[in-house]
This record gives sequence, C-alpha cells and structure tokens, in this order.
Amino acid sequence: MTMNAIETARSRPGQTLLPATLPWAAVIAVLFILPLAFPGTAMVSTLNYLGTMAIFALSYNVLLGQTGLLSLGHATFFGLGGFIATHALLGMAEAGWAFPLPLLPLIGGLGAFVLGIFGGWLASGKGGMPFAMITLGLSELVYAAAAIFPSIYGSEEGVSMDRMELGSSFGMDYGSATDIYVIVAVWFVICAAGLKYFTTTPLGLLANAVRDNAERVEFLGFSARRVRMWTYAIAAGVAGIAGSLAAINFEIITVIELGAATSTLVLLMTYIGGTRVFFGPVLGAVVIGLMKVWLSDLTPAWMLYFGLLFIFVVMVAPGGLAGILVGAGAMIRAGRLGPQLPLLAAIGGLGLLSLAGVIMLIELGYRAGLDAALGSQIRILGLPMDAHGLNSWGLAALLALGGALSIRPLLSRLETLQHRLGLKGGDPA
Amino acid sequence: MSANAIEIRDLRKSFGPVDIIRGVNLELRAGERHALIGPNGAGKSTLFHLISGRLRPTSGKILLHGQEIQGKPPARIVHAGLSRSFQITNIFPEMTVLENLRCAVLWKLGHRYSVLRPLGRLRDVEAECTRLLEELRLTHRRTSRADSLSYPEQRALELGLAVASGADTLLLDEPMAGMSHSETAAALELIMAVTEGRSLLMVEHDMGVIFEMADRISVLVYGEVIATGTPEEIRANPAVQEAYLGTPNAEEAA
Repeated sequence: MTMNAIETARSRPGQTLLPATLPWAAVIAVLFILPLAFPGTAMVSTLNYLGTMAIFALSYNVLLGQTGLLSLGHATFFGLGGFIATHALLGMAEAGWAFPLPLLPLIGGLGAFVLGIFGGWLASGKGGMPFAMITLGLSELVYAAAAIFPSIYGSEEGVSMDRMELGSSFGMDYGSATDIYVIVAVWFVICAAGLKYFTTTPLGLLANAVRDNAERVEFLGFSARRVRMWTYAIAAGVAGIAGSLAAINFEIITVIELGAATSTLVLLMTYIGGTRVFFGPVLGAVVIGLMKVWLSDLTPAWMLYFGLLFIFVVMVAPGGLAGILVGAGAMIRAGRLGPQLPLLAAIGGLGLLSLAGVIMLIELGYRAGLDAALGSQIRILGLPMDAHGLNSWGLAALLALGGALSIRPLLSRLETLQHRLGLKGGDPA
Repeated sequence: MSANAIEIRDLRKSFGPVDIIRGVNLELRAGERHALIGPNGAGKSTLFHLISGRLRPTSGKILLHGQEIQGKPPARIVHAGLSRSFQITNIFPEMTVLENLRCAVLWKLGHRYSVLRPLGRLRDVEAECTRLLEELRLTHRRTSRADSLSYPEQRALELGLAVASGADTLLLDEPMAGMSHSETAAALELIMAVTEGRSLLMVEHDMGVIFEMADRISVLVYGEVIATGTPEEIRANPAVQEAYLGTPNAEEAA
C-alpha cells in the first residue's frame, strides 16, 4: 500500500516552478521559526545537534536510498571531517590566521571527500554484501588507528577546541548557541539543496540505475564501480561537513564520532525516516535525535526502544516514517483514507496498548536487573509498579500480548478492505 | 574484412571440464540481419555472453569491425559499438521509462558521469529520449515505473535500452520470448523499424519470424556452427534438417 502510494506521488510530473520551490520556502521558514519557538541555550543546542544529524542522514541516504549501498561505516567520514575541522581550527588559531568559522566545515567536508574517493575506490568493486563488509572493515581500521595516533585523535577524552578562537566574522562571535544555529541552518540548506540537485544530474540518475540493476548499467557503457565510488565520495564529503558542524557545536570531537555506534545511529535515522523520500532521513534524524536526547534522560533502556522502532519499521513500514506520511497523503487526496479510518483507529489504539505493555516489561526488567539497586518500586507511564510484583508483570504481559494478538484479525480485515479499495495488488491508478 | 561487423574465430568456452562453445566461427556482415538458431542447450546465450563481455572466452578471437574485443568488460565493448538486449528482461524496474532511456543515451551523448547540469536541462538527452519513446511506442508510458509496464511494453523497453546506446551492432537475445502471436507480430515490426541500418545478430526460436526477417541464418548445435546461409539454403541443408528442423514438431520444439 505505502510503496504504491509513494510511487503515485513520485511519478506525478510536478515540474512547474511553484511546486519545486515551495518545499524549500517551507524549509527556510521552519529554520527561521525554530529558534524563536524553542529559545534558550539548551533547546537551541538540541536544534544544532538535530540539524547536524539531519545533514549526516541526508548524506547517508545518497548511499542507501539513491545508490542502494548499505555502508556500515559511514561515521568514519563524519568523524574524520570533525577531526580535520578541529585540527584546522587549532592550527589556524595558533598561526593567527583569520578564517571565518562558518567556512570551517568546507575544510572538513573537502578532506572527507578526498578520503571518500580513496575509500570508495577500495569499497566499490561490488555492491551488496562485499560493499557492506569492506565499509565495516575500513571503519574498524580507522577506529583502531585512533588508538595508535593519540596526537591526532586525542586520547579517550578526544580533541577539544574553542570555536571563538578564530575570532568574529559575519557579525557574530560564535559564543552563543544561536550563532552556531545560523551556521548549521545555512549549511543544512546548502547540503540539502546540493544533494537534491545531485539527484537530478546524470550521475545522480546513474546511482539509481546502479541501485536497480548494476549489471545492466555496465551494458550501457558505464562502470558501476565508478558510479559507486563517486557517490561514496559525495556522501563522505557531506558527512564530513556534518561532522565539522558537530565539532563546532560541541567544541569537542572524540573517536566515538567515527565508531560503529555512530554508523549504526545514522543507519537507523535514515532507514526509520524513509530512504525513498528526499526529506525522509531528515525526519528520521529529528525523531531519533529527539528520542536520543530526551529518552536517554527518562530511561536507561533508550537504545532498546531504537531497536524496537527499527524492527517495527523494517517489518511494517519499509518506506519509513516519510513513506507512511506520503502514503497517507496520497490516500487522502484519492479520498480512500476515510473508509479505513475506523479500522486504523482501532489498530492504532490496540497498538498503543500493546506498546504500553512492552514499555512496562522493559522498564520492569531493567529495574529488576541492571537497576535493582534503585529499589523495586517504580512509576511507569504514570502507574506505580513493582519490579518484584506479580501483578505488575502480569498487567504488562497482558497488555503487550493481548494488544498484539487482538490486532492480528484487524490487520487482515484492513488488508481485505484495502484490496477492495484498489490500494493493494495491481496498479494504484 | 572490414565488411564484417563481427567476426568470430575458433571461439571456445569451457566451464570446468564441460565444453559449451567448441570452436565457433561466425561472421556478421555489416548491415545484415542474422538469426542464430539451434536447439536448447546449444550455447546460443553463452555465445552472446561471450561476444558482449558478460563471460570471458577460454580461447579464440572476437573482432568487432576488425578490433579484438574478446575478454573486454561490457562497457568497453559498448564503447566499441556493440550493445545487446537480454532474454530475461533486464531493465531498471524502479525507475520510470524516461529515466531508463536517459541512462541508455547518456554515454553516447558524451554526458557520462556528469554533475554539471540537471538532466532536465540537457536538451540533447530530452530530444533523443522523446524520439526513442515515440519509436518504441512508449510515449504514453513516459512517467510510468518500468515494473508497472505490461510484458510486451517491458520487452520494448528492453529493446530500447539496447538500441538507445547508439551502437551500430546489436545482439538481441530472444526479443520475442514469451509473447503471444499478435504481440510477436507487433514486436517484429518494431524490431525491424528500430534496427534499420544496423547490423543485427538475433537469437530467435520462432521459425516464422526467422524466415521472414533474417538475411542469413546460422545454426548452432552443441557449441558449433554447423551451417550458415540464406533461409532457403538452411531449409534445404540436410545436416540442419537432421539436427534441428527435421523433427516432426519443428515449430513447437523450437
């Protein structure tokens, strides 16, 4: 259902001026409003983090969505970009050079791009499994190298810098989070517009072709390897910009930023957001980024919830969150959502109950195990519960299982209904 | 010599101990329509894979306009002027028909891996794709996803990808496979039109089609070309009759 709907939306020719510029006007308007709507250093810092991750996720989607390449080491270029930018800043500050801070990501991005050409040349011989394994190997290599070169990567505490050391430029001294927000927002627009443009170029189209059918590309006169290599380098360059921005925002860069955990994070963001809609990864970066910032305060189990969300998206909505939105939008426009609403509402309600049960199980489990020292009494979703109490566990299990089991017949009814509405099987038009 | 688009000399291909192509000699004259026939397992597809670079020959030579191409990667062979279609439809399923064709014309128009201008601004690409869409009768399917096309339409696109690359020598591997009688007639007409003026080597099973379109026919049996000639010569050749046409159900068995 969702993929068909995406397709209808995508293949609709919207080449007139207005629809093409409208989303960008909206993006810029939102970027203006955000810091006004969420003032305060902590909030703006969070926005800076989200913007950085949004750029990072967009860059990852050049590989995953556009070229169909599963990189398991994309953080390598995020981290290296950050280190390059940091060392550039430190070096220039020491030499007393005047270099505007907002242009620093250019250095990190270019550095990562050049390293990306090299990495891409190594990794791009084949797609699929060999590509994934080589990217994983390369990233482990760089990560391991960090321990050997403490002068470059810092020791465990990383390399820190003072972003104000380069002095003022463009009327800002870069002391406040808002100044950094301006830098992040402008780079976000530049990167998003650049990558969107990239999708419209011959190389961008060939990337799609390599994703769809790499062998046939060769029989049209092209080298699939070259296409992979250049998309890899472009993705690396933009990741380097994102990494530079992260370094500027936090004024520190550590090897965590180029490790497997960060590579996994960007994979989750991109996939959960949706790989087949251009702004999908941005949505994923915002949702996962917020979860990371807020959920990690609320519960020690936050990583587990990422995993669950990821599994849910993989199994239920392979088009990601953006895929769901686009699909719903197409259905509304076609007037086909109305008849489904009661069923969808019932499924959603039961899903929430089941989710509540799962949350209780997880939190009770953590409290009974890892966090046992905090005592067995705990409030979960507003309810007082007991990690050693049979009632608590019983209620949680009942909700989780009962919800999930009662959803199943509803799902098959939804499928029948969608079939009847002509949304499944066959041409959606 | 140079009157031949393709010249194959003593070509051999073994998979381990199994010899699939056992000393093929074949000439495709410039501008001719040449059909390659033979029973199942004779090695027709393997021979196409060897010529087009999908497989490397064990020994022997393949000349394209006098230039050796054996063992070269497919892209190089396309640059040298030979392109092919596939027996099993081999298109870009998740891209639109227009996008499929754009990919196929990019190399010959010299844009290659460019990022300098968006495709929408490349007039030559648009003009060429519009012409191809018209020729392939796919204009109304321009923005449809390739995997949403009907089977004959997908076959037309498959043919289009081979033709669009601008090569003057074409290998078509069973372009009519799996089509109904009426679809076959339409497809044949299309193939005749789009390959006009090019050298064509085509694997085909439908004898009616072959005798209608082919200037010459080569018969491949157990990895060897046992006969080459005009349709009349092939029909009259006793060895061919015995090996292939002689069976009572020649049309169906094919």
